[in-house]
Amino acid sequence: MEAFHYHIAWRSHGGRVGGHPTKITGGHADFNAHVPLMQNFNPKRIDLRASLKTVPKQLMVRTFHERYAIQAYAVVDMSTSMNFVGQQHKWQLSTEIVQAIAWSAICNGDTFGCVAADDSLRMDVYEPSTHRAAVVDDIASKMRSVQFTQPVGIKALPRVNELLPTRRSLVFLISDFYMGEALLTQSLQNLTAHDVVPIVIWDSAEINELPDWGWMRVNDMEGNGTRSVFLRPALKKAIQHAYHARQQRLTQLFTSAGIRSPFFVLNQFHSEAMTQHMLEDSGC
Amino acid sequence: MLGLLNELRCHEVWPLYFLPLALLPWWIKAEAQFQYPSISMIPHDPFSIWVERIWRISATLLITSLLLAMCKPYLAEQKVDRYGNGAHIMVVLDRSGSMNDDFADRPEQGSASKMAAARRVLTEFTENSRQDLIGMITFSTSPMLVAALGNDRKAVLSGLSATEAGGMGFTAVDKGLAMALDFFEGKPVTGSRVVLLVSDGAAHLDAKTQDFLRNGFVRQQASLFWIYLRSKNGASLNEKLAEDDDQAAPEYALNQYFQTLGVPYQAYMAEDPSQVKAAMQSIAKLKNKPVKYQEVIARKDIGYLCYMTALLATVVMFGLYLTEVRTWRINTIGK
Repeated sequence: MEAFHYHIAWRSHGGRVGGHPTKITGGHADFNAHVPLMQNFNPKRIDLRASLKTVPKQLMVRTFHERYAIQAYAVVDMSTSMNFVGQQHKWQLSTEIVQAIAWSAICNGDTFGCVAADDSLRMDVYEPSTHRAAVVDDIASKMRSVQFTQPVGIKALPRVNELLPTRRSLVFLISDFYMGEALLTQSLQNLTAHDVVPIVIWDSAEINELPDWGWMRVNDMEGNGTRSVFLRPALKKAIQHAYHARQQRLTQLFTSAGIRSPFFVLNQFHSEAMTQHMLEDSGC
Repeated sequence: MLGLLNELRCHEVWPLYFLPLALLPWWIKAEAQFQYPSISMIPHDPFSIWVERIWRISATLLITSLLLAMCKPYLAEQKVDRYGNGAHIMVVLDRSGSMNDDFADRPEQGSASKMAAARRVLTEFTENSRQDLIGMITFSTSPMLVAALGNDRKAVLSGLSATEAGGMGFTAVDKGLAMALDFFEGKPVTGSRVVLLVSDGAAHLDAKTQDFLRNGFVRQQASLFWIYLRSKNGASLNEKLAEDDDQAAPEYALNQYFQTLGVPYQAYMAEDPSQVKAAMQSIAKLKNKPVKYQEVIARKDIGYLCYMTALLATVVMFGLYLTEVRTWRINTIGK
């Protein structure tokens, strides 16, 4: 389990002291402005060079913004399709990712919480926001004990904000994103208060590693019926195209919803790649 | 084609009660299925859908055709009207003992008996007259039916080959002719009727029999051809013996009588096998008239069609079974 670094481009409003920029005056990390000494009586921060530039002359003090902690949340898709086993067990992979998020948040001094949803909100995998370092193991054991039985979708995704704070938080949305566009758009609209990082978990077994030839009858894991598929190179190519188109469509949807571009996880989660992704696109 | 459907029959009906079983393939879902996260990601593919449909249709076809085969279906016996050029020919063949002799009166090693000559020529005649209706009667002391009037060539040919057993007894021409005429009785006159008498002798007919036969020939409008297989020193048909004795030379008397029948009559005197052949050829020319007759087609078992269909459906299903994907690349689970 490796931690990744994340950076936010917005300023949080209060909470506990941490590592993220805020609009709260204080501390000595992020320079804010020069103010007269009498306005902020802190002789340690007198700036002589700024004072000499003032007309009429007065002593100026540098003020700073405080760095506070933020709340990081993992929102986990618990529809049955997450139980897919290809090159990797998707649920196992999402457990690893949630653990990495929790560990990164705790290391960063932020709080971590977890919300899970299938057709309803899953309180057995709910983890309220906390600074406890043990939350990393707690959430992992909760997620490992999950049993998938009935095929379920993810109809409760638009309702996850019921369990999220109203204050802007960093929300990692972990899913395979096979839900309908209307549901996804609505969920994203309900999450506009937050800084959402979509993490798309796909498996190469469902895309590239289908057999070249053969007749297979596939069963939808979320209970949307069965389909006869006579695999042949042309159809395989069409399936790959469909995934490619889905990837572009998802990026487009997230962009138009004003949130970060998605992070695609194929088979394996690399924390370095996640760090890179978080730094490249640090949100609005 | 619809006519054929009318002739469709079956032995058993009870398997048809199980026909609803044919719907079974459209209900069952117990197939090997792979779990796929979202089938909405798989593009719509009509070919795959048809593969599935063909599989289900084959299964239905298999069940249906096996059930139909269990009904033991058959096409009932049919009568088909046929038209052709030819005649209705009743061959009346002499099988008396004298037919075993050759034309030279004394059987010699390697020479053809009269019977053999007649047989060979008649066989050839039968084989070549495809559109004639042919029947055959052999007679010696009493007549014997070999083949009824029809287009069953095989029966006539086997009757002819049976004459190899050799002849015996006397020559009862009248009974043979009467029996031959009987076969024309009550049947529509759809072609010229011919009675072909092949004999090497004759018998005396009394007045009553003569009248009876005359009536018969006139009523049936049948013409008569007589191939007289004459031995070297046999009686001639045309030369009256000096003694004026019908009993001594019945052939001449019979020829005279046949000429009074009032129906077309022709006699051929054959004194060696080649003449027999020539006589037959001239008869073949005479008898060409349009003929209408009914051919009987034997009932036909069509269960094999059902089994063929079932086999075909099985082959299709087995082929699709062979193309089925057994393993998907998920061999690295739990790594």
